[in-house]
Amino acid sequence: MKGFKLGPAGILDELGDFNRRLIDSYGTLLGIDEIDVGQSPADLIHQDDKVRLLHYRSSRPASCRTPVLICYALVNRPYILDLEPERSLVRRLLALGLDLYLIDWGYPDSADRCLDLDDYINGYLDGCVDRVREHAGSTQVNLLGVCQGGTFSLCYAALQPEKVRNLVTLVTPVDFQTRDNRLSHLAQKVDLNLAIDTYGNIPGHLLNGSYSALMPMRLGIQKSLEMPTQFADRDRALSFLRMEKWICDSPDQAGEAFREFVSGCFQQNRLMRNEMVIGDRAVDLRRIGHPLLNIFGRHDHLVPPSASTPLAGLTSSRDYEELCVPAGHIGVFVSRRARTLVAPRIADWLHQRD
Amino acid sequence: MSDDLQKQMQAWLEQQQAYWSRLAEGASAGEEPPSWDRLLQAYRQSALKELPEQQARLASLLGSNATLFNRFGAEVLQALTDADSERALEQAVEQLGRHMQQHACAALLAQWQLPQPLGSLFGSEMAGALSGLFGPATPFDPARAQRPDTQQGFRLLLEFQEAMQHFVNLHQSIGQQAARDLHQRLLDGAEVESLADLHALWVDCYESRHADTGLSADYQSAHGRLSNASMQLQKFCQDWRDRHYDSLGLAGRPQLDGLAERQHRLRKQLRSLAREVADLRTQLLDRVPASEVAALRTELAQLRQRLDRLEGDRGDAGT
Repeated sequence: MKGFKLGPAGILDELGDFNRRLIDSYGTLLGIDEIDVGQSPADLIHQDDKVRLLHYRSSRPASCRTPVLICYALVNRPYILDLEPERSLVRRLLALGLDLYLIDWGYPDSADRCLDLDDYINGYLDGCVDRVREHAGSTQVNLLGVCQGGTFSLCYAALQPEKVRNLVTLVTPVDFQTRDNRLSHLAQKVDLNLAIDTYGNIPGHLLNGSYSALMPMRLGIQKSLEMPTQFADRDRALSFLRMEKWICDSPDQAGEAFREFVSGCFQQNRLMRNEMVIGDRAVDLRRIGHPLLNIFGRHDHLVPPSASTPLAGLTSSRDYEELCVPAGHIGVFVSRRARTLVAPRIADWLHQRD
Repeated sequence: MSDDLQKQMQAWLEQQQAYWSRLAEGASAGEEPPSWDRLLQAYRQSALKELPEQQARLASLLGSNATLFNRFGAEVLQALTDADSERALEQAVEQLGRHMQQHACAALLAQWQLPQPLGSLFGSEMAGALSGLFGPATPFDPARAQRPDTQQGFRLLLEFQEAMQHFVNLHQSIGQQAARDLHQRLLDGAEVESLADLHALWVDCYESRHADTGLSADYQSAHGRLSNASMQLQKFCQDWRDRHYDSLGLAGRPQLDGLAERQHRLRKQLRSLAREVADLRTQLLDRVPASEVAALRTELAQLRQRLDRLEGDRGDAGT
């Protein structure tokens, strides 16, 4: 063990430092009452059942005429895009002159267990698109889909191409069965009918458990051993706690929509073969001729790049661009790269196609 | 943090540092101070109970993982003072692997534990049969255990246990491979300048093996089997409970599900009708020129006024 350069004095120092920081961490934790997230001011302009459509207020007039509608995933909450003022993709996009709207899918309860993809895409999403067009006085929207919301946006753009001007997909899976897709690998043998019969709606904490189980040590003990450093001061602690709050804030999934999505996408990869059916209409991605900006994270373990990049060959778009961000799944929106790379690229790209 | 708590923690740290110093000197270290985790438990009833749930959970996690880290640090300190420090270090590293593996297995068991105590889910009859099987204090009733429901419950429980065992075995194998990899990387000269470095190296080794195994067909089957076994057991309990509800004339899940489906169908019909009405309105407006619509609206307003006047005149005539 020639590289082993640990001596007793070093270990004593390290243990002392670690535990001193641990004690300070307690002081920090005890001094924090409220963990505020999603602080950018917004107006509720439309509500359909539990789905809410928000319009963000901006201190400056939008320089891009076509409004941007953000379609987030059903899993987790969309405030990750506005986690805190210093790490807010929303604020950055507003500052860059975009007129922003966001869909908040809400928290499905037992009354929503039969909601299916037709309800979400042809119902709620279409209703939000229409309301944004009306509110902004625009015939079309720029659709910005995130993760599963990106897959929804692709389906929607294929079904209602005339209502969409440009399409931006962030960390969006389209090929669900690539060799390195560990989440898909885990989903293959799960009996979905049994899952819906058992749970009705799929509990959010079960999904969270599945995500954590993909990297149990790094997201478990390693993260907790780094906490004393994160809690060294109040601001860093708040950043950490906001992220933790978001991770744990995982809505249950409407049973039928979950079954259709996991079965159609993860287990049968139907989107790749243009065989996905939403309501009574087949989703043919070749109907997407819109300008398309596809953004993905190089180190994304939930939606690996190989799951996103096949989009290049699936649509009929002649204006397709990719942006590979050196970040993981969440880092694409919240890291410094998001501020300096992702938001400016989205804004420039949309302005050029306005 | 209250001054009192701060003082207690500082005092604990001083005790702990004195203990570690004795270990580092190779002297008789004496009794280990109470662990961080135990200190936290003692305070959970006082200052920490004020913490919101999320912070309380993190505080608890911090405490238990710090205990693990401190214990490992103490073991490495001891190993370094050993005459055969190379061999002692290897043992300390092996010990780290064992600790981490225990941690991983505990996390697995927590993730896959059945969400409610089986006894309450199974109801009194099944619980009786189960406790007859597992608890020697309760007499076992062979007649009850031979009922089809009871037998089915046992089968599902056994399937869950076997699936769980297989899954845990796979994870143990990941841990063993990771430990071998860690050892090899240390022999190959991987730089380790702190306990944190060693920890990070272990995590790299573990995650690398975990990622490889996670993509194997065996892991996929084992995960699917465990997921399905867990759900079957839960569903069995729910069905059991529903039959009891039904016998009491109460609505169970099938009835509630039926209502939810009907409500959903109605919701879809309503949405479809609303869309048709909106489309018809649009079509109508598209077909009739805007000027014609405006003229018709004016004419309608005039007719209303005339009607109002006529009604007024008739009223006057009546009086």
